[in-house]
Amino acid sequence: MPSSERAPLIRRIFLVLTLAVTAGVVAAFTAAPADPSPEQQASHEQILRGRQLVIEHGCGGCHGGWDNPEAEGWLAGLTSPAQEFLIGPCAWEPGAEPCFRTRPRNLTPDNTTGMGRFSERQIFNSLRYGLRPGETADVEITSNVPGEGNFPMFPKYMAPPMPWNAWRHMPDEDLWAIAAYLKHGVKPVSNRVEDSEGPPDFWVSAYTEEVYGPYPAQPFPTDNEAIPPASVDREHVERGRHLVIQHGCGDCHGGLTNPAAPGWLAGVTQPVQVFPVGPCLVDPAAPCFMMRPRNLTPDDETGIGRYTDRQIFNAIRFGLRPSTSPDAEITDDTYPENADLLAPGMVWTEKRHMADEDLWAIVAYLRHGVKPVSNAVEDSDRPAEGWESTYVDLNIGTYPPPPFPTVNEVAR
Amino acid sequence: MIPPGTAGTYWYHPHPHHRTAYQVAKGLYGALIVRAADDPLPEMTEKLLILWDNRFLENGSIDIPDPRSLEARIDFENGREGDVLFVNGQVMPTIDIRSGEVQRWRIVNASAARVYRLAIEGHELLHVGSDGGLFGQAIPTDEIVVSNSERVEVLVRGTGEPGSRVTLQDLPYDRYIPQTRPADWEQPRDLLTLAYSDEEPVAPLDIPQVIRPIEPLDPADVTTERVMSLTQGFINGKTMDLARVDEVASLGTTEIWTIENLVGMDHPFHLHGFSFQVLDRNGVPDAFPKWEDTVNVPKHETVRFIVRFDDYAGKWMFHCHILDHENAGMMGVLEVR
Repeated sequence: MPSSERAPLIRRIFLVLTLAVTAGVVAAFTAAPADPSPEQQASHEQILRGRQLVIEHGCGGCHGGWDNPEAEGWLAGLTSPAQEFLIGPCAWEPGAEPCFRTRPRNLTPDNTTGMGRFSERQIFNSLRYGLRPGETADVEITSNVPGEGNFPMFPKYMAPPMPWNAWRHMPDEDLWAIAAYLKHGVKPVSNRVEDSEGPPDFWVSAYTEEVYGPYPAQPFPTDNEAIPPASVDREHVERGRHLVIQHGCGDCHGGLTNPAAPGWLAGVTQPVQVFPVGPCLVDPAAPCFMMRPRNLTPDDETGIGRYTDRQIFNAIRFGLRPSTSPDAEITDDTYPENADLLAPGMVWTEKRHMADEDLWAIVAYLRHGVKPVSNAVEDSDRPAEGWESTYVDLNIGTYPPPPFPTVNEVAR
Repeated sequence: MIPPGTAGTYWYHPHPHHRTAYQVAKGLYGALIVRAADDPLPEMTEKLLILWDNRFLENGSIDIPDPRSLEARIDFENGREGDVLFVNGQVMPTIDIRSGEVQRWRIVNASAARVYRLAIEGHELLHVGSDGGLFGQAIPTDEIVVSNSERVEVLVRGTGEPGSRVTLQDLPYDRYIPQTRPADWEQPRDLLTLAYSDEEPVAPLDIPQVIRPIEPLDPADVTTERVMSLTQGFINGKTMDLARVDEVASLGTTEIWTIENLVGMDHPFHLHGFSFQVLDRNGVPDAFPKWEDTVNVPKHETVRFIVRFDDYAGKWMFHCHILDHENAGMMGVLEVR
């Protein structure tokens, strides 16, 4: 498959992930008053923090440039019809209804085609509450009741697969940092993206607390979670839990963003969690590789209980399959000669950019903060030659990312 | 005193905040014609056409949905459109014309949200005026888009055969966001019948090449430029606050306003109290200067106009003239002092 075809294929992975969760997002939450962040106060450090978050949350996976701020089209939105997402049963069954096209927006600060005319607070509100920034007032939101506390009477949510239901769990300062980076750290690119489609209620009936859980998330531990042993730093575990929620691990591995949900991180428990990757996403007659998200609970037989903390760390940082990678610190010298990489459905290329302590916190949570669930998940399909060449073709960029500013960025 | 040069077709309606759409839906509107003593067009039959639409329940009362309903939400997004189209309060009236005759039609879009794309099959129209009166010259065209609150003056030339009948139609015009675009938006709608008499054709009138020369405002005089970013229900991210002044301009100055429509739906932008001249649309200069007080800003497009605040100190509103958007606060206050 030529590389030019692979990029849209992988992008469509995110579509399929979203279809698994398209039932909705939460409109109900306890709104914490947001600290105002006047735009002139954006500091260099805040912009760098925002950049880091944009990279590790994979904004470029849909909005352009993958995890690589040097890449052409970094955050500039859809530049090819192949970047569109089909939302609805039509993604599986051509012609099925309903069928909506989502087109990732231009996130650069261009005035007329990007975020340039939107305030940082509007961007904050979009990430915290899922509200379309151009169609929500530039005001602090203090209520979750439509029509009260500046929460819109008719909320207009961003179209799936924008994963704001996970992003909303980031701390205020992180969301402000992302807004600061998008407004002040990226060069404007003029790229008008056609509007996304959607139902006339702007996804209100889809984004429900029943599906995505509450905001903030239920306190630790829920029935799916375990109190860590005394020898383990509970704060570290809870930090990992927060990261697992805000990075949306449950969107594929089970439970979405709700640790109290059935199947939380237990891997595939229902057919809708299995999704295809491969040329079939462009040509239905072409072959597919079926992705089956793993059981991330610490079950010894079917989950990550089989692997060491280091192997799990290496899986997220380097994309190495824990079952076939060494239990060793990975350096240039120890990186496997024929690396056996995780399937592209696992977004390790963005998660690898998380700080070491964040990855170790995730490992600690998965190991000690989640109850083991016995759920054997069939292996995902994979090409005979593995996935390595796919990642090369995708131009996922370097680790660590290139220094700020790249050609697509601007320093204040 | 009515200033010289302001002859044209105007209209009026109540403007209470949050209630305008309801009151216009109930029929509170009318036209006001200011005639010039030295009107440059030859004398001819003149017709006033006020276009309006509405929607009714089975019992004949006006259909205004429960504000919590999905229908109300769609009305908010699109603006409330009706499936019954009126011309001067009548459904499908007839205008008589004689073959060869030229008629001057003054057309007002009084609809809350419907934008009319007007055409008469087989008839080329002569577009001769807009909100601020007559143009410098006639513009031949097959169709004219009239957004909310806009007025146009059109010369209809009776090029049909004696005894024939044609229809003034509202052709499909996609001003909608995809989420709430009506399923039947591509349906042409009939507005009135143009009925030719059986009389022999008359000789057509001569229409002057130059109708009313209009002096363009000079960008070199501009002292201030402003940007109005339109989104769905907001101007510059804000909704109307009667206690707030959004913009302050100095009496006697000339300004350029850039109206950016950042969303996928047309927004007709209306400025109270002053007429302006559109400079360009998406950077493309307008062909000739003309006076307007409402300009449609199509989805994701940008319009720049030049305006001179040469009189009328005080507070003036500017807003989207989709009445449901205006109702919701897509409006601001300009103080000229």
